[in-house]
Amino acid sequence: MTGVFSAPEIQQRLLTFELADSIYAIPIAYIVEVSEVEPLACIPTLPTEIAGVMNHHGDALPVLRPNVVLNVDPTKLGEPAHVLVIAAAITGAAQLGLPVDRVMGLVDGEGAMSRDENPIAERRSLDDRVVLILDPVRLVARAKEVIESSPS
Amino acid sequence: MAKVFELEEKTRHVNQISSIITGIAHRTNLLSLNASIEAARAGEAGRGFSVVADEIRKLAENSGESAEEISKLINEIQIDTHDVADEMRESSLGMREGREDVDTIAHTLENIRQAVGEASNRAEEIFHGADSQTQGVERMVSAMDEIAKGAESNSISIDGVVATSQQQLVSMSELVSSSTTLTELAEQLQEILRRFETGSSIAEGPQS
Repeated sequence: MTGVFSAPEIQQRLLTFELADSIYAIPIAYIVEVSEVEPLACIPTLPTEIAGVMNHHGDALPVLRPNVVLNVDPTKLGEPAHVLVIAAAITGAAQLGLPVDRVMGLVDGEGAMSRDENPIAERRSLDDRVVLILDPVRLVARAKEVIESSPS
Repeated sequence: MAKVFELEEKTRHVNQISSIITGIAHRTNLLSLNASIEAARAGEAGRGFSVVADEIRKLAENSGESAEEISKLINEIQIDTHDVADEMRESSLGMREGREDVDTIAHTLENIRQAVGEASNRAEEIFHGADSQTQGVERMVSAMDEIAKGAESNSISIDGVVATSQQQLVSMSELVSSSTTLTELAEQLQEILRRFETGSSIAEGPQS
């Protein structure tokens, strides 16, 4: 189900964050920026409960609710503290904004690739905590599917 | 007490400063996090920068934690100061209420004093009124005495009139009796004269 990145050092660090009482990690190679929460503009074809658009340094960045792209209970989601600006490729351009409850920090560790549609590639124990390792490529793909499946 | 309020205000101000420091630490942490990300994205060229960014991030975390501790201590001091200020406010309120009570008592005593004065005046008026009434009663008693005396005098006079009338009545009875006797004598005399009548000339008396 999972594989390990064979890329160099950039893939050896993970950004950990909290979402709906669970801890997630994502390789920082796919993180463009950790941004403050900005007001979201509506996407005409999508309700605000699903997605909105954020101004990211002058560019429109789609921001999807975590429960839309990840299997989390929306009632457990807290007030977002930050937005992770995620790329679909290593050092790629910003593709997706993901609001998170709390950014925890950086940890050493390798990323993981999902071999199915699920963006959660692996469950791993880091510092005595179970951390869900996200596959950013699958995550962005899921987000695109949600946006493209909306009625135009 | 003003010093306590001043202390309360200063601790509030320190807490605001602590919040600002926490905010700065938070933003510095975010910046260092983003710097670490940028350094990682820069690959080998960003290695040195990544180390610096990590150090900054750790400092920011430490600053944030210290600011949080300061904030907690300030909060505790604020709570204590607030409690002290509350207690002093309550004491002040109690003292104010006590002073108001004393004012009320003084006011009440003044009212009582005025009421006693008025009562004294009234009593004096009543005394004067009673005195006047006594004098009136005395005058009335005197007048009644006069009336009684007059009535007694009248009674005596009436008794005299009655006695005089009785005497007059007795006299008149005697007069009536005398008249009756005189009438009888006159009738007897006329009878005697009638026996001595011889004719009309004789009866008419001697002619001259």
